[in-house]
Amino acid sequence: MVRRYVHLDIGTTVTRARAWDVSGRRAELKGYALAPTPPPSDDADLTEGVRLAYSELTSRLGESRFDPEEVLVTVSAGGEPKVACAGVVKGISGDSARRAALSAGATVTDLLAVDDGRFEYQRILDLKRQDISMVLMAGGVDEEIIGQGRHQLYNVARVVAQGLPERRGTGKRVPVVYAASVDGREEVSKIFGDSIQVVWTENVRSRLEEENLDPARDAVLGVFSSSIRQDPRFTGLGRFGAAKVLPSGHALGLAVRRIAESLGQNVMVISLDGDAVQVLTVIKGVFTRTVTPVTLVGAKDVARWLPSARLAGLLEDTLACWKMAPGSLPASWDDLAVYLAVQKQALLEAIREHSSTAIELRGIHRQRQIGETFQVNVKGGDTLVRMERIGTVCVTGYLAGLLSPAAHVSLLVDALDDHGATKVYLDRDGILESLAAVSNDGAIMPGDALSPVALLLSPGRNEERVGPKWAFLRAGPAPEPLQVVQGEISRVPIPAGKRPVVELHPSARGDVGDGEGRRVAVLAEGFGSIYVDARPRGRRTGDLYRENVRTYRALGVFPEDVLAGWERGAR
Amino acid sequence: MMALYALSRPRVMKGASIRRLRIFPSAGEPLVSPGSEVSAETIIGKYSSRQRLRYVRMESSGEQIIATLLVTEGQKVKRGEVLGYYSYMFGLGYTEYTSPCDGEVVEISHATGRVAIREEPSELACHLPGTVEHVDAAVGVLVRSRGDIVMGAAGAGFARSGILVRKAEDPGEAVSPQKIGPQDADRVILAGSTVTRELLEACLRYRVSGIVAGSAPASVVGWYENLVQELDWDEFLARYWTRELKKRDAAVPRPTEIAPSLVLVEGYGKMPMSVEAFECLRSFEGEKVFIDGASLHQVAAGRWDAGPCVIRPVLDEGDLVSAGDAPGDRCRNTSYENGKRSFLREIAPGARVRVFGLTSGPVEGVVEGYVQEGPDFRPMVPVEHVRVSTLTGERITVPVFNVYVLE
Repeated sequence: MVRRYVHLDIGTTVTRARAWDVSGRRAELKGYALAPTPPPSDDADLTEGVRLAYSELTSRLGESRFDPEEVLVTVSAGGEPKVACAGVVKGISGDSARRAALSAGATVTDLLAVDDGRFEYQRILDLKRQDISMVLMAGGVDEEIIGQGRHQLYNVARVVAQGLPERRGTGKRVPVVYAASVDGREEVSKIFGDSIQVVWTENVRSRLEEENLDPARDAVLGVFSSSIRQDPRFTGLGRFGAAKVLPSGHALGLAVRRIAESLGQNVMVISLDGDAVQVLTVIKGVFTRTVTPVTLVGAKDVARWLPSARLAGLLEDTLACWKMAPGSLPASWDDLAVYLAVQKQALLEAIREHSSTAIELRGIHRQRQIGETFQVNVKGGDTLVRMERIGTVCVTGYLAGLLSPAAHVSLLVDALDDHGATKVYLDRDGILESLAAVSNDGAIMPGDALSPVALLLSPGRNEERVGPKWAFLRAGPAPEPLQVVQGEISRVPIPAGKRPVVELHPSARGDVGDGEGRRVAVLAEGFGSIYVDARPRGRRTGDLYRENVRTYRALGVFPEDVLAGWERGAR
Repeated sequence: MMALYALSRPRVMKGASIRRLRIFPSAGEPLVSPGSEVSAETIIGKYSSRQRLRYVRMESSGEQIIATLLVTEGQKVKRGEVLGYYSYMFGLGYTEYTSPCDGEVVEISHATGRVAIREEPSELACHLPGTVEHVDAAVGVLVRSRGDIVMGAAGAGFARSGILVRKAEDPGEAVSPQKIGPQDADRVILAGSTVTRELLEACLRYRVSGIVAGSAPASVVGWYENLVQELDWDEFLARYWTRELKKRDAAVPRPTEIAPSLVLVEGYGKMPMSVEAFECLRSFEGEKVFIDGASLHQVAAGRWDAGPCVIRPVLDEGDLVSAGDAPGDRCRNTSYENGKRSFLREIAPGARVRVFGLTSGPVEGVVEGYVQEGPDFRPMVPVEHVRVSTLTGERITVPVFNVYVLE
């Protein structure tokens, strides 16, 4: 039996409508439509684009009777849900509250903590000026919270109580999700009084050594679900009846967790939304989500990724103009070169931000060896993001359906700092974002609907130590060595037919994912190409324009005449 | 093919109903209430700077301030007032400690030698006549008014007002800094195409209220935005020295009224002002206008429209009443549906549009028709494109998402 589902996604700049037909374990995209999303303001109807996209979708499907079994609406327009987080110590409970809010698909507008460098009155003023839908408060452990710790928790509660802003359109103050010490509840409830709505939930750090984000995340989702239809900007959702409404980031997070469970390995999903980059990972079972706005990238950084000095000349002004309309798409090859440079820099910054957010917990007493002293990448907690440990990267989002596979590979090889073997998939139809709509029961495996794009092989920062016997492709009886040319990226087609396997043979000190000196074998079935990337990492020097042209040529992103034109400086 | 829709972003609106948030630079204390009528000069609130306490460190030794103190705790002081002095080397060396602001001495710490002064709250003038609709001590005062608006694409600086004077003959003329003089103090300058750093410096020196132009390089706007945020009166006097302003009894302007407000109608780079905006602004000549470069727009982001703009208020009693009562008739250029403002418009052939790109500044043109694909780069999935004939006669094909309807 075929069932029809509709997913409506109200993004910041674009609203998308998709119709899915689901039969057993298969989901097929039957139609889609796009419309602009109005800019967020009090007198705007942010569902205006949904109405247009939905009616266009129905007319494109051309069916006389359009009666979907379920309609799911996901929202990220206006940054909703917007959450201000509060914790006692920024790097401990504050970060946990932030991670919980982000995992619920929220935008974190501020993080208040006793060590955030502000005076108390400044924290109150800053909170009062926030346009938020809730405050998520954390701090303290559940037992043995003593003396100063308890005092600080109450101080944070007083700041929240005094600074809590009004909820849009209601005249009431926004609710507080309390995910802090159980010990402090009684006193905190006195501080908040009766005028503040408090949602009590489990402590995100009931013990310093443990982080329990799920109850806080569910509480944030609960507040979002109960309040989104009262938001005057989203009253238009009423026309879809009792449709389920979720934050877009949360819906995507559910799919990412499902992929990680089904594969049983670490997974990274990158959502290129045009005006923002979301990075979601499940590493060692820990789910982390971060959002980085594209509009924050600077012209000087973007210029490093351009293929021509001519394009760099006017970049500062054209980039500033593009930021006034970040939904604008490339219309020419020159435009595409600038667009890819912007997205590349944004992705690079997004990965950096994600690396500093997805970390081992801070605040834990840990014995270190002297040799480890200089190995800490992030202050206070080691990052979980080590690319040699992440075997699967999937690209989804608005741009996944617009840019070519080669363009996506160029984004990843330059921004990802990949290491070892990385399988790259593309979610062209947007099944990951719609999965919460089409498959609540987990019957559909997202992996089945993703397109394999490329297998990236890279010695990472060890490129100078890699010899000719580092990588092998076993497609026949004997493995054939893959050429690793230092300073170059090369494309190797995978012959069709038998199940090809790529093997990496690191040196005794080299680590390609399974530990020092351990060999790794990766099944490359379904992939058309292997990209062997032995370009130097870190600081890029020399003629960057020429280097970028060389990379684009190796990956086949632009036609040869366009590349030659840039090289001549004529185009 | 279905009808295509794009965001509507009018450049000029005439006789429009206006709801403008007058934002406190820091949380403040409103002095007006909803329903109050306000004029451009009305003080709508007071706010303290984020710093609140200012410190002056005096010479101390051990546990005692050894400078001679001339103030006591609780005493009100004026900016520049001598708080104490220290004479050493038999009078050969002399240091005078002056108050950095108007305020009250709240603490004198002999142990550290610090004198703490609580700043007197600064006043925020409305600059826009109208009726107060909503008051939020944390954010600001929402004023309802009516008038003609020229929307800015970018800008910097706080809200000001002044008589508009035209310095450019046509929208393509770049105004030279030599055209600005002392007679332009407290006026709003209508410059033509591009604003340079030198022009902004001249406007700062002669205490111009605002500048409205077509464009400015992004680097210049970035520099000016930083300057606006950091420039206090002492810094202003140090940089733009003028004898009459240095007098002790010279009036010190409010912090938000030190630097001129800058509004760019087109955007960044070197673009002439559109004829439509220039002609509209030319019609304001000799009249008092409200100008806001929107340095504080982030405070209102997502709640109220607080972007850069120039407004000529056109008020009479009847206007203000009808503006609030009839949402369907709030603005002749803006469509409403179910009481909500509609931001999407159909891109019909003949529609005036503004096209954004990645390798060139925005251009204006007229839609000729729809096409399925672009001429050069083609996205993996079909994206609707429109063919636009630009004002320069060029024909371009762009994705529908690059287009904003102008009317």
